[in-house]
Amino acid sequence: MNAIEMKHVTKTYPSFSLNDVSFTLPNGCVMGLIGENGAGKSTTIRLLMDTVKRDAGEVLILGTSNQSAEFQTTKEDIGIVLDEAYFPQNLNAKQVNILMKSAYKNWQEDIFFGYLKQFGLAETKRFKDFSRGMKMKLSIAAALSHQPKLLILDEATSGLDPVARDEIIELFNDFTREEDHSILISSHILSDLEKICDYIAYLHHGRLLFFEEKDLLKEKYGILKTSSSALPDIPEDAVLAKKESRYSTELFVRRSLLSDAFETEPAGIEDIMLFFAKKEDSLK
Amino acid sequence: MQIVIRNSSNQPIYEQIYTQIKDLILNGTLMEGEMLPSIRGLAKDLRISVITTKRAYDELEREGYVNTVGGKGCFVAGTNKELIREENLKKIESHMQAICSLAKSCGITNEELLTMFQILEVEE
Amino acid sequence: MKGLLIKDVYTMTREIKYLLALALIIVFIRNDFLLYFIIVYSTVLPVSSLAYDEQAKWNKLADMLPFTPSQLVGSKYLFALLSIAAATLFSVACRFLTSGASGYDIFMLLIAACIALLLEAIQLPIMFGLGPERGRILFIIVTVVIACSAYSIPEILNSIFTIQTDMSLIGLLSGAVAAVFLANLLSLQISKTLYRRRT
Repeated sequence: MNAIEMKHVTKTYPSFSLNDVSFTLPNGCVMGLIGENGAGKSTTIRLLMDTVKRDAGEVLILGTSNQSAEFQTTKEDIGIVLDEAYFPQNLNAKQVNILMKSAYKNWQEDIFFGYLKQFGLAETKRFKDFSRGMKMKLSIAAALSHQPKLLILDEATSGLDPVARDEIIELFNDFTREEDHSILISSHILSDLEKICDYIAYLHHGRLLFFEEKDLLKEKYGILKTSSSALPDIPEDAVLAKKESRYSTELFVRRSLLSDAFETEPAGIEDIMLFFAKKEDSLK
Repeated sequence: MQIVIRNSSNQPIYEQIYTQIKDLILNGTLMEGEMLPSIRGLAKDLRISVITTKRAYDELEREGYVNTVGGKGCFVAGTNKELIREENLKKIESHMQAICSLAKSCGITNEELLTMFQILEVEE
Repeated sequence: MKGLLIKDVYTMTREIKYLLALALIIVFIRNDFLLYFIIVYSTVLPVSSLAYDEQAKWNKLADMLPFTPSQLVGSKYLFALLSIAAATLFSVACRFLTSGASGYDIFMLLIAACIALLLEAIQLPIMFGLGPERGRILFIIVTVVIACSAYSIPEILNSIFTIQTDMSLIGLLSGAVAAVFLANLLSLQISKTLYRRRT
């Protein structure tokens, strides 16, 4: 079974549109949704949960259509963390527990309070007095305390200091030790996600520029640093982009079309994203 | 058992896992019948992709180094001497290729190389 | 639903404290107008709690949790009912304790409660439809109207009462209760539809 299937989903707003987005996240995998602010990550997540109505397309979550009546039950298996951690401001962690207990049938208080202790969160401090990092941690604790199978996390690591981020990433890593546990996590910072993702999706101005297995992506593309005099020896169709400076030339290449004799360096996901974004923008 | 993944390496990650586990089997660190860690467990411990780890295990199985027993896990297959010999020959060949190209680049003759090798052997 | 209700109470602690302070003042100064005022003023609670929710963007999250739209909307109506009921109970008790109450006094307070519930039935769909952000101006207008009506309820009632002298208190009250019940039922349905359409 697949954790998420999004097929040709389109949503048009007056000033922004999400165009024909399709991807499939297999069960047990982690997907990173990368994109600049305003690229459509949050809209994608809202469309996944059907809190925004799509204009066209289809969405299946854990095998259930998100516009069917059964989706209400499927929601029990989903843990949600949203960009600005939206618990009512005046509530403290204890009261959040009461609220969430009424939302999820299989809510587990002991797990929730366990996380609060682990994260060092005060039980009686009001949500609005928390720092952004603490708010995030509280939301993550809440998302993990009802035995979810799928976590949908919108910018769940931004605003955290490196130590806290590492702690959270480790938690997500452990979560996916279970065969049927999957994660979709969005961020505008790639390095946050690169460590734990199996798949990377790149959204740019409302379009999904690629959805690929992370390691395959790295194998597919490479960086070749060479001198301008060596350029004629390099097969033209292997070169996707070129950056020339006074002293050397840097090529973004498709590795499969290049013999092993050329010593390419692995391309970072960031290089790959940049290439796709530039290509897309130049088409306009 | 130790597996070291280098993200900066030019070698794809699945190949790094494949080669390292293969070497552990060939040098006898992993014995016949021994169970390998689960794909998911290894992936999460190494903090790498599950899919990549699966690819390495699939490759190991295809090459006959391990057997997957449905529902139980992955086990080291009985290694035959022939396989090990062949593997080592391949390695020697690649080293020799490196020697050849190095020698060529600075005009060292085959005779000189041979003498070097003989001296090395005597020293050992 | 219980959790949502408790959430509203926690969210509105400060406003509830103000109301309790007002209640305390009423106990001491024994003002008739304030007895009506506190009943109609209690309708502010559910409406401001909606504004607080919006400010925290709580509904963006709530919509993704296994709450149904019926629970999310319905809990506000329940919160309104409980707020008004509590205020009415207080006013009635106050009447009894401070000056001893006639049937007529209690009847008038209950009619005030009906008017409060009726106003709530008008306010909530506007809030759910326009959102508290845009509904706020309307909210201020409605609050002013509420405050004025609180002042004039006894007068209005007196005039109705003198015109229709043959009508019994009980008859008028049960008519009012039935109207309020129907209005709220209709209002709840409209709110639910509007809430679903907002997404």
